[in-house]
Amino acid sequence: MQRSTTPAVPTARTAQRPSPLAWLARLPVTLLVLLVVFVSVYPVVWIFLSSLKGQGEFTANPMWALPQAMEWNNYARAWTEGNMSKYFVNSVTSVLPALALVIILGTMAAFGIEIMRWKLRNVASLLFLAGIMVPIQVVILPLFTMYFKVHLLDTRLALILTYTVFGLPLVVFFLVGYFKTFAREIIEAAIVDGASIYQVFFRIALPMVTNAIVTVALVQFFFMWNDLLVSLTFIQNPDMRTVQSGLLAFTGQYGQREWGPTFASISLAVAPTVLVYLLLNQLVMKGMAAGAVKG
Amino acid sequence: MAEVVLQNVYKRYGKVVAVKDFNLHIQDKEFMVFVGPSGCGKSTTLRMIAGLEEISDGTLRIGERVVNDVPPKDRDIAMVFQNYALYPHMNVYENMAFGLRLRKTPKAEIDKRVRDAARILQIEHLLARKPKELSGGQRQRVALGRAIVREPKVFLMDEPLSNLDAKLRVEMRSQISQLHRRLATTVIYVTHDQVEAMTMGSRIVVMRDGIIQQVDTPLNLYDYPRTKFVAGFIGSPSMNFLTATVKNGQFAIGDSLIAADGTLAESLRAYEGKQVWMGIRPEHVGVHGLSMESRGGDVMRGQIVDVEPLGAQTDLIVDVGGQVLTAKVEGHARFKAGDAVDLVVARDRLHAFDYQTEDALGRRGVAADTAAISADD
Repeated sequence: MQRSTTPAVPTARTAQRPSPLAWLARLPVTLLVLLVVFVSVYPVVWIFLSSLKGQGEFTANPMWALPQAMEWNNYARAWTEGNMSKYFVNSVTSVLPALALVIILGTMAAFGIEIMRWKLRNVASLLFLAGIMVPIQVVILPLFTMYFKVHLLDTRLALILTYTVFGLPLVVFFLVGYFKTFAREIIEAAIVDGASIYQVFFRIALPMVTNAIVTVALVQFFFMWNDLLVSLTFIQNPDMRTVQSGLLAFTGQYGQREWGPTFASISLAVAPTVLVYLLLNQLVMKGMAAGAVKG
Repeated sequence: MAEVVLQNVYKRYGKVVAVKDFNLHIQDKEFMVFVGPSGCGKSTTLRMIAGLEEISDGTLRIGERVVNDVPPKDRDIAMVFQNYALYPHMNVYENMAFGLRLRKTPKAEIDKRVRDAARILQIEHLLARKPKELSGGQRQRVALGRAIVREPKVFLMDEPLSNLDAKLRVEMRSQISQLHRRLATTVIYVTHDQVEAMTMGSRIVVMRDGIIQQVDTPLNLYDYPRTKFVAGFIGSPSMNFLTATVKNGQFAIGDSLIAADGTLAESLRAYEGKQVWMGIRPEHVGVHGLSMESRGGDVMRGQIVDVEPLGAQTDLIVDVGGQVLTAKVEGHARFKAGDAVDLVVARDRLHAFDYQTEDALGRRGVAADTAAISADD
């Protein structure tokens, strides 16, 4: 026999509704969060809106005014006249190989340092860690001299090499931390099951760190895609410029700064990172959390 | 044949010696349990047998082959770990099939073995699930299944039940014992739980500080412990140890005189006037007027310090001349702290240990010694 009973505890709906006093107490924090969100998001929105304005609007209207005529043509001009298409290709062909290298080498190095047992593993770990401490500004001039001597200036290889080498320490550091949370017995179980060290790496360890790899790959992608210093230093040839250094030299047809296409170019430059993050942010969060706490 | 023989095996970590001169002959199809407190070297020894730790010195033989330098995958062993060590990205079927796939076993054969093992372990309905979707008991079954499908010569189990709750542990204990009888394979099982060791092992190795204390059948360990450590480790509650002086071949504790019998009485003569440890298990101590009179024991006067009713039995903690001992009495016996009691001990169940070396006197050597092999075996 079924009986209907009155719930003794408040339902989730009523339990979640804060009292006016609690709402007031939470107000300063809410305002602070809103302020931080505004400071972070508004510039991006402002750039996007500005990219749709005509040249006259920048002088005639206040800077926060909405675009009047939705000049989508700015994007076409940025892509063609502004050479953004060329810069995009240059960026992609520099960043993707570097990203692949940094992930492959970084994962293997982290596996070697944390999972395998060998004499100099602690030294290797320390060396990678030391790599994080070295700011790129310190070595950029010696690197410039070296690249000049081996004729690497104005080549993609200069960017790929630099991005890889400066990306590796952080990738290794992050993945070593992730491998630390592994139960060692899982690796040992695979060894007893008959797996070679390569099979342990590719069939056990690698699938287990997918989230972490996506996370570090994204972080590295942001660093590399947004790099200005390296590409500005090692690339002189205008045809070899990446998106960021290309933006710096962006001028209109008659050498005059055209703000609409400029903001369109900036929006185009930012778009890949925003898109990638929006698509993969759940995976990134998982990767961050799993690396931080032993699960 | 899958006997496992360890001869003069050592494990050193720098200057620390984790396992010392370990000699053991494990028979084919035997269920051998390594038991001892944390840090006694039992897991290290198991890992040396598995090939996960190098042997610093000595010889390890599995079957006819010396395997000191043979990698784990070629030792024909399977291991079950304490925390299950399942591959989290594979489902149960893939977990169990992984080892066979690496060995390039034909697909049909893999399928047959996995399904057979799943049927034996009653996890057929879980084959498509990932480890995170399983309970602790189910995960442990999968870990067992992964070992079974390999059909190894030797099963190695490293505290496989420690992560389970008490009820499930009892259940799995019995299942593993049944599995051993069914598969008729050599099993080496590590635990710190003496109840597991007693209930599962054909023989038990008791270890302490990397050294074998005694190797024997469960009942022989219980009845004829060779050292005070073994006597205290095996049995629950553990054996009572009282400091006694030998007077006229009897234990003198305070005003009480406790007579021993048989070989123990003879051994005590050599200790006349000296201090020894007298050992008696709680179940062999009774309260005068309630039990034990038929065993012909002597009486000690004491005062109850604490009463621990457990339903089927009651443990009395009794102060006897400044020394505390536990007596196990009938479950509904009515006692309270502060009561004076006359304790009676079963004379034929008394043990004595040298005060310095803590080696057993008298009863030692009575048990059939199937223990350690000699170095030249």
